[in-house]
Amino acid sequence: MPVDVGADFKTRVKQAVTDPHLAETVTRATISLTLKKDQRYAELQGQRLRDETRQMKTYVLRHLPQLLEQFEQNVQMNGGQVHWAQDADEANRIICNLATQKDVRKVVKAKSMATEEIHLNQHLEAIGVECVETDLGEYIIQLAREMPSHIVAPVLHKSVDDISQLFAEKLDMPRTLDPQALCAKARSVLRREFLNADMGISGCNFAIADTGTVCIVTNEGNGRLVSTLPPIYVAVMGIEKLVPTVQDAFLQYQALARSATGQKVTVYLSMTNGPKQPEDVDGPREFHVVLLDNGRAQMLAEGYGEALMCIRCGACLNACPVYKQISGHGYGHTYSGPIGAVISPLLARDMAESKELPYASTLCGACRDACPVQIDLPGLLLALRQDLVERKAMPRLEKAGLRQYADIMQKTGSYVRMGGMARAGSRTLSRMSGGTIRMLPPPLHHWTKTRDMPPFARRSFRQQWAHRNRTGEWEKT
Amino acid sequence: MGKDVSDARTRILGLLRHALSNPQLRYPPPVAPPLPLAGRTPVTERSQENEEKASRFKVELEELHGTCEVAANPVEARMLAVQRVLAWSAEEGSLPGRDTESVWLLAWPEMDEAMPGLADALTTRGFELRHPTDMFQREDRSEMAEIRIGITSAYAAFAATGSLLLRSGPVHSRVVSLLPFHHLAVVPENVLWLNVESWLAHEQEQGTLPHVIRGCANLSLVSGPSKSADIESRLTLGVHGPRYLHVIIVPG
Repeated sequence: MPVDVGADFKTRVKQAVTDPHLAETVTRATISLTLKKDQRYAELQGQRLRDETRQMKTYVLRHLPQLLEQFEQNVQMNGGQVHWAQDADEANRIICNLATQKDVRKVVKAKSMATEEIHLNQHLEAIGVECVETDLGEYIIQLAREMPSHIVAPVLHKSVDDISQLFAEKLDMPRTLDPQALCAKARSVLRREFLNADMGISGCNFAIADTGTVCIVTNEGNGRLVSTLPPIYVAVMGIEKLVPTVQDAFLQYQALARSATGQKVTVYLSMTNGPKQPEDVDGPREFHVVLLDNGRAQMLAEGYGEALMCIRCGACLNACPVYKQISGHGYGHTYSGPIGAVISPLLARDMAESKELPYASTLCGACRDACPVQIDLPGLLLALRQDLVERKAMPRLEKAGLRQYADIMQKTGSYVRMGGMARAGSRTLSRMSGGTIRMLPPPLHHWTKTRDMPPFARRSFRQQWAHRNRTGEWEKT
Repeated sequence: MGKDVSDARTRILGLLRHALSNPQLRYPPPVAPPLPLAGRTPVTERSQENEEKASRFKVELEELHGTCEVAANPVEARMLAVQRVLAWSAEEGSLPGRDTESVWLLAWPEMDEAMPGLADALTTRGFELRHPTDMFQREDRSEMAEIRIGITSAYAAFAATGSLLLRSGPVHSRVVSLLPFHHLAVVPENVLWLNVESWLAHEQEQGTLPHVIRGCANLSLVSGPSKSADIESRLTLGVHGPRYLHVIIVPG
């Protein structure tokens, strides 16, 4: 059963962990991506690349207002137009207005997390504009009417057989298990869309403040096509996507290619400065950049600025033991994995809806070690948990329980007393169900809903220690 | 609408400036120096040996599923180019053309600058070189889109990653290297650099970098044929861009 991303967090997680193939498929793919990344970092001074990228991105964050102004001015000098959007509604309105004014019927899109974040397709479709996703994975997702489950590999959760069945249903293609044949089919269908589109929309991997250049990175070439063929090209970018100089752009490009897919270079890096020049035979006549805030400035103000250095490589997803089990759909938001657990609650500005996400982590730190910018993801997750508690986005009972737990742990007398009760109680319960505890009494029964609990030891450590000091040897258990 | 837009701009910049003015801000630190240009780790370098650039380019491009030939002299280069076009058109079978006598190729005009005599050599073998004119004319567009072989040169090339840098311009159409199934790039050896960093350093030193980057509508770095691993992490080629990329390096 696929994960229902509309369901609540517990249901999504349950669906994900009980799917017989999901964890295996996701684990295989993420391990392979991690191995490729490690290999690419091993062939150069990987730590230096990470340190340099971090320093560059920290500079960007500290100087963000100036860099945004500089970028805006340069895009305008290159002949492009810059729009500012404080939230998703504003961004959608800007793009929908543009589409209406220019009588746009069909839009081709290259993979973009920012437009997923604001649900742009739904808004364009509501005013009668057809949106076609052109990244092979995103196209498959769109055909299946699903959500991407990974930042760089959106159909990581689907098998070739799933995809063939989908193409048979939707595109009337004979069944095949040959990925190349599926790819050729998508090429021919999507080529027609590219040639007939009135507007191209993409995200932005990074943009150069010094020159007013929007850069997109792809392997398939759809980034080049959406920014070349349609008469209007719109790039939607988060305000944190800037790099100061051309050299910094190539530095981030290296960090991205190596971390995301374990490549030295991607097949294409498309750098757009503006619309086509008067004598050019091809290229868009209009170039628009939408600068999207949508909670980012607030994120910085609240102390979560470090998360704005993310370059969206997906390495933290691949490293995460929780992601491997619940996949991107378990998180239920545009951004999944450790980085998604940090930024989804902050971007949505709706803590209640995503309050579980900061807890969907073991805090093992593998994400921080994998991150090319060394973002302290476990630290940010802990800070978020604290914020959530302070904002009372936590059940009162759970909060009271934890306070009581803290009291018990801090006083020797009550610790010893409660330990004795827990030992006696747990041993009685375990005897009733043959060794392990199958069901705890409320309110602790949530714990045993999905797992058994072993009983406490017969004698406490303090008792055993006292015995050893008295007799010179450990008790036999 | 104009008012709305400037309001968003003011609000966003105001919020950012206000956030950054807080001395207790958790991140970024109050002092964050830019990363200096000098002394950066060379990221696309693999070995320190003084390799021959052309042979390194070939090795790297072939790792990326492209193909490459290094010609001994300009005459051989032209011969290799013609042979490659003949081989591809034979593989393709029926190809679009004005009539059965000629086959259309999509090419940059002025290809003779990169490889003198190439246009003539192809014409005498029954090919007709078509140049994109106005991609916004529907007829021109659909005609261009049918052509299966595209021929370009490159503004620069980088050996360490097997990459071509294409810079758009009036005689450097973007679609020639993008729409066809086969892309032949003829690269003069004197535009071949060891890696992108050495080229950037050179342009920086000459003071030409800003113009090279922003003096055109678009720059594309191309490293191998179009590919995807979206389906079960398995390699598929020719997803949207060319399925075949062949580079011929022409000695100066």
